[in-house]
Amino acid sequence: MTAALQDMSLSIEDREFVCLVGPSGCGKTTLLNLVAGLEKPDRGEVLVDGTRVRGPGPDRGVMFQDAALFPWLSVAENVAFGLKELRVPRAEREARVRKYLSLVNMQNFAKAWVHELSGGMRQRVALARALALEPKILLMDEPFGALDPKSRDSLQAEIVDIWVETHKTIMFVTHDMAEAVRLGSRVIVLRARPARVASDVDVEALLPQPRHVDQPEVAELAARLKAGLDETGEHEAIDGDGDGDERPEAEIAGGDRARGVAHWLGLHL
Amino acid sequence: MLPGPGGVAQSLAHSLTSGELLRAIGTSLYRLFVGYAISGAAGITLGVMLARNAWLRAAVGPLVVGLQALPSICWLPLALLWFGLSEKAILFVVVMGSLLSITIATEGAVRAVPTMYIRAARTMGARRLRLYTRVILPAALPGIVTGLKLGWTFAWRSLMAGELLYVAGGLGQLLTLGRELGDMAKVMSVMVVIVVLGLGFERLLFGSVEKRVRERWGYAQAEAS
Repeated sequence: MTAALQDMSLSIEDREFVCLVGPSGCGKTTLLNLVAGLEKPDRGEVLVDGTRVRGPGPDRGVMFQDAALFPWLSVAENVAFGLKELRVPRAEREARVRKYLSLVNMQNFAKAWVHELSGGMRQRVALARALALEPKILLMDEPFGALDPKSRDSLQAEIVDIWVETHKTIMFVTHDMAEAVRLGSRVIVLRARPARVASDVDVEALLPQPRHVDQPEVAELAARLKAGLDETGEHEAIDGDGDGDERPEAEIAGGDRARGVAHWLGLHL
Repeated sequence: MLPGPGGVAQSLAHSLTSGELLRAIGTSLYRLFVGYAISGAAGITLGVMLARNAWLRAAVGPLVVGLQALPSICWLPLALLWFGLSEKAILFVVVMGSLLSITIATEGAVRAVPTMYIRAARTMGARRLRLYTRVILPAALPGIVTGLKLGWTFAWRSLMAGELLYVAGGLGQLLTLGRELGDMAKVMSVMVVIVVLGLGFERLLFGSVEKRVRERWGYAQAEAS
């Protein structure tokens, strides 16, 4: 047993689009699962809006690398799954399914079966399914990692649009630095063994959206962050405001709605 | 040594018109459906419990596998001691014949349910019993259907074996009767009926279901590639 994460503190503010990026073994997925409530910390705690996370909840929507759609349900029924669990009345349920399928441009596939969809289409449906519960926080675990470049491109553009329109707080895990810089308002680079924050960059201040993955500035920033990760040196704060120092605990107040305190002392896998 | 097809057809027609065959079919099918319903419900329940509970699996798993190797007719002496010469005894043999294959198939299918389905469902608020009814059982359905189909075949064979020995109505008894009368055409005609019923119901119950389920669950493509 090795500690996936140790002595790490992190605060995410309301409406941030945080990309967690790092090599495999850096604990980025563990971090996401902790916030999702799918894993429990051995020590320390995760607070969402000041409330301790004790398990999964509808305030946090999750999207996985594998869409994890249910093949025995149609596309519309997949999107309605969580709404049924929450006992949302039928009329409202149907309205929300229509709304979110349209948002991801899948409104014409409501009656389709999962095995009839391409990988990109499945991720669109998975996104609609997570959004349908109208969570304040969207947690995404390498959702575009297995897609072809074209689908990835269009989904990247759409998730940024959705972030701008719906004001969600997004936590997005990826191993692709360029993707992180292209998407995130803030990029947190994690280092493996021991897992800790290598850099914490306010990308939105440096390069406001819209930006594209082929843009030279995006590529340059991604290269710099990558170089910083490869060095054995200490934590690098690129914009002078990198707030990733390893402190035993941290508390940073966000907006009024989301007040996040995250504090991990040691998590074992 | 063998009666001609004409003789068999004639015997078939005769036992049909006398009502003897239809009564036997009725008796056998009634036993089959009752026994199969019991082993289906119990087998799926037991299979899910075994799959989800490591302690239970360690305790009774080897027993389940071991007992499955026992031909179901071997339960008949015990059933007669427990239940006497009653319907319960023959139902017990049918249940024991099909229960364990359904249990084992269900256990395997449930254990093979991708954990990502369960994780995704939990993030959408599904818990406890709802997790079973809305995710685990549907996800395991292709494997459960395969088990149910196997269980059907075993139930039918166990019933015929039991009726041959136990003689109290049903198609098995009609076979015994044919032998006692030395009426080979009768024996053959009943055998034909047994084959036709066994295959017919298997097709009727599982024919398109198994294929459709495998296609929709996405197994068909995986196998093709």
